[in-house]
Amino acid sequence: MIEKLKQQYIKDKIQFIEISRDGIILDSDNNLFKLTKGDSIYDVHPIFESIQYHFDEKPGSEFTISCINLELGTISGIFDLIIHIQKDSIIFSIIDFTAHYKISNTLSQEKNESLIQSQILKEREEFKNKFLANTSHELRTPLNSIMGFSTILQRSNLNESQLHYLDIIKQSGEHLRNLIDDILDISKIEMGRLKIQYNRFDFFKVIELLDDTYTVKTKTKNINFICKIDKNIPRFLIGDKIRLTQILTNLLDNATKFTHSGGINLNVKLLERKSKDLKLEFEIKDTGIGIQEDKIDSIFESFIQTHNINTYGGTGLGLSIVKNLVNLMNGSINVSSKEEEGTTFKVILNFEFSANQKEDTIVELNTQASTEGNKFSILIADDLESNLLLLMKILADYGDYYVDIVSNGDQVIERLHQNAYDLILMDLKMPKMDGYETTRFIRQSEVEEFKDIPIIALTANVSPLEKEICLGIGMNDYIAKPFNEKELIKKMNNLLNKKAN
Amino acid sequence: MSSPKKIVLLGHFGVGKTSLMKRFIDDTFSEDYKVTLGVQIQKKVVELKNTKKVSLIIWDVEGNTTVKNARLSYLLGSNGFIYVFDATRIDTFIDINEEIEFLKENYPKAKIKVIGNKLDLVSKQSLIDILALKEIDYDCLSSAKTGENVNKMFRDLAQDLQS
Repeated sequence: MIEKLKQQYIKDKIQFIEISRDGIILDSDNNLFKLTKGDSIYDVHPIFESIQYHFDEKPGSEFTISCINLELGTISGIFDLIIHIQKDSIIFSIIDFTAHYKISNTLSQEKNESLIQSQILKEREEFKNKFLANTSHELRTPLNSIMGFSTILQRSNLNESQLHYLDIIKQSGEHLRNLIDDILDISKIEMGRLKIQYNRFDFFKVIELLDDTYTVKTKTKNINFICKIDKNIPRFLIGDKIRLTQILTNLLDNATKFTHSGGINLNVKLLERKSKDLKLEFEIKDTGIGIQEDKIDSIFESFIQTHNINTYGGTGLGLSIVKNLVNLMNGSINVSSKEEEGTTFKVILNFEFSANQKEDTIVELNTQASTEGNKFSILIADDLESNLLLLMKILADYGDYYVDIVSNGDQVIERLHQNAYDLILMDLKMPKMDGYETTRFIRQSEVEEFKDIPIIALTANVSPLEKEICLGIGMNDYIAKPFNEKELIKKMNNLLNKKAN
Repeated sequence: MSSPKKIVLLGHFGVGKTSLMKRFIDDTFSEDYKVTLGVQIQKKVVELKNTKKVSLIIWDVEGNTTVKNARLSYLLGSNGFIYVFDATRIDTFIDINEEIEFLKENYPKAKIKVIGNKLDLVSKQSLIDILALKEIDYDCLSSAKTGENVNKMFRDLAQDLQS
């Protein structure tokens, strides 16, 4: 019976073939397909030609090649091939595993298709985010000139209406900068490159600053702003001050934009305190136009605007950024709203209590160059003429500096060999030798005086990583474009005074 | 004619190994992706510049994220390897230099060609820039769909195997 079952189940699944060492078929049981004795096995299928290297192995050896797609005579399928090396001949066992392999075929097909799809989607997403980051850089550069020259123009002899127009240009520039920052933030969040920084900060100062800012902003709209802070909250906390400010500013800006009568309340409460951990609730309540019930679920999505874009403007990224930042800070955000009555956002965030609750000693950055009558020599390197002109104009107005300008790193090195400079303002993206390479060259130079020249990076790349790279390669400070004129002067003088002392 | 040469097509799944073989053997192309299970083997005789003929037996093996995972029985006895990557998917070529190093170490006599496929889907210059940026060494860029560089790549390898 066993023999009968064996015949029934194995007969159609396996074929044995014996060949001579030069490939002539000596014998075959022809269970799967028909072969003729005396024919060459190499004419049956190319696989036999390509495995000849096994034929010289010692007699008794066996080799298996699994999962081979073969067309043999009238049959086709997926087979395993076992090569048995004999003294004077080679024997092949060809085993039909088509049914078995077909099952895994379907699974592999589905798995591979979904993986390929996800890889393509990932790449498209990365391309989009890189494009956004690059566009942001390209937008910041001309914006730097618009903002900088507006400030310079403000100091010239202008009449009242000209000053008013200039004020509008500056405000529009600020607005544009905020929009670019939003776009950059969302791309950083999507790429997972936005990291929350945990530092000690004066929490009361953050809220007081918001109180001052929105008291002024709401006054121009004839609405009220009331800010209440729970006095049980410690003054100094550990957390991300910048991102907290960004969350609250976004929500308060929205409240101001959409409220036309009544007012806005910011209430900060201590919800829970466990050992060092604090849970705070920030409630932003307005009596504005509210959100339609069917749109409330989508307000945190990117590029979604529930109100008329022509009336209220914006990118539709603000609340998406808020939601993402709150998530990154392991917090939560809820919204309730009624049309024509108002909206309330409740944000819950976790902070740590700082053991040091002492006031910081404020060190003011110096705005005066202690020149004792002498002027400092500054070398400015930037490939954009408008940037050079702006920096020259700013430094000329302050009057404490002699200025030389160059447009690439090669020229920086050339000038350093000709003149002595007290400080270099270095753009990072320049033709030929860029700012990074030039700095490395200066810091590694054999000329001792070069190594101590303070270098400030000027760049439209605003990531924390960029700052780290700049300081890492030996720059002394970093200023993001569009820059604030006073900040630039303070940073320069700080380094110049340090060097002079 | 000299003895047949075993050529193995390697690379991640979905990079177009089967399409390259079909374009070379039958001059056909299909947009449908059908996974290769195990190996399929085809043969083509190529005439070289010096009118010599060489018989290429091409082993189109299932895709693997690394050569180390490929079945050893498919790689043994190979005279040449064609490592194929997908120009639209960086994951398929980011580790290519290591993969080639592995092949060189383990199959020192085999000739190796590295091919970027699906050129019809990308801008050639930006692909060249990316490959330069990532310091990827490759021999040619091809498209199984348009046929660009497909015959050339197999012929170049055949020529190398004769010299």
